Amino acid sequence: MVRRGQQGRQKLRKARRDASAQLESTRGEYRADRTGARMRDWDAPYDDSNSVRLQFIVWHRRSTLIDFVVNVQVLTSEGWDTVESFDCCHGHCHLHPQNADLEPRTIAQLDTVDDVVKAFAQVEQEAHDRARIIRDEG
Amino acid sequence: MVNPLLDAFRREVNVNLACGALVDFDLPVTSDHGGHPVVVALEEERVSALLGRIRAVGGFANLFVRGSKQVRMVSVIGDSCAIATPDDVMTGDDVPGPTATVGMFIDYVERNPNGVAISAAVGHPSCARDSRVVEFA
Repeated sequence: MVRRGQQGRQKLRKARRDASAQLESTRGEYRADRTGARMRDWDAPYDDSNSVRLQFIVWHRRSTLIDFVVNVQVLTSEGWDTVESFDCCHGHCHLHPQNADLEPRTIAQLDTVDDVVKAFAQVEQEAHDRARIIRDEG
Repeated sequence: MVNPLLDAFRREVNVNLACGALVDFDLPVTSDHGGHPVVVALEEERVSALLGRIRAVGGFANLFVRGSKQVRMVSVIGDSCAIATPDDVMTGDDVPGPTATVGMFIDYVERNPNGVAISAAVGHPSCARDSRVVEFA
């Protein structure tokens, strides 16, 4: 028999398990191995005064994109501040939102290296939209 | 001023560098802070707009220019990095004037293989050189 006070705690535990399971279900098998991969980076200014930019860091092996990080950055008095960041860790391509209290949002599940290229196309679109909105808010 | 064509070209450059025809392309220009600034422009834009863009990233840039038939890449590097002295300091008879387009400026750079000094415009001892056509996927 479950006491009335325990019912709430049980429900909370079940909700946590369900949320965790749902989060895990978006995670695939792919884990990038950057060892020996060729790394490149570049910055793409989004306005003429260079106050908003996208920073790209990519890793290739034999001309195949195996991993990437895309940062949306704005210029502050302290230097460049990353307001949003996309990466491919833990088997899913995901967005780290500006609010650190929020959970990362999955963009794409990653099971094979081919998924990385597909995910990049989605991330490039999202990052572009974000930088454009920040720029146009001016 | 927001230019949708420039936005589209910027995206095209980023995609080609990450997973397109430029995956094996090494960006030749490094900024003072160690990054690789990629500046984009359209041939029909005013050269003054382009120089402002280069100035805003610190005076050195990997410059991609979209024309009607081709994309050209130009290195805007420090004078001290240039092996040869720049051919021109933007004082010749056929120098692009204040109303010149980016396309005219890149044509001028092509005619000066040792580069064109643009230090006065970008606030750094810089020169534009090594114009080359790049193929996109």
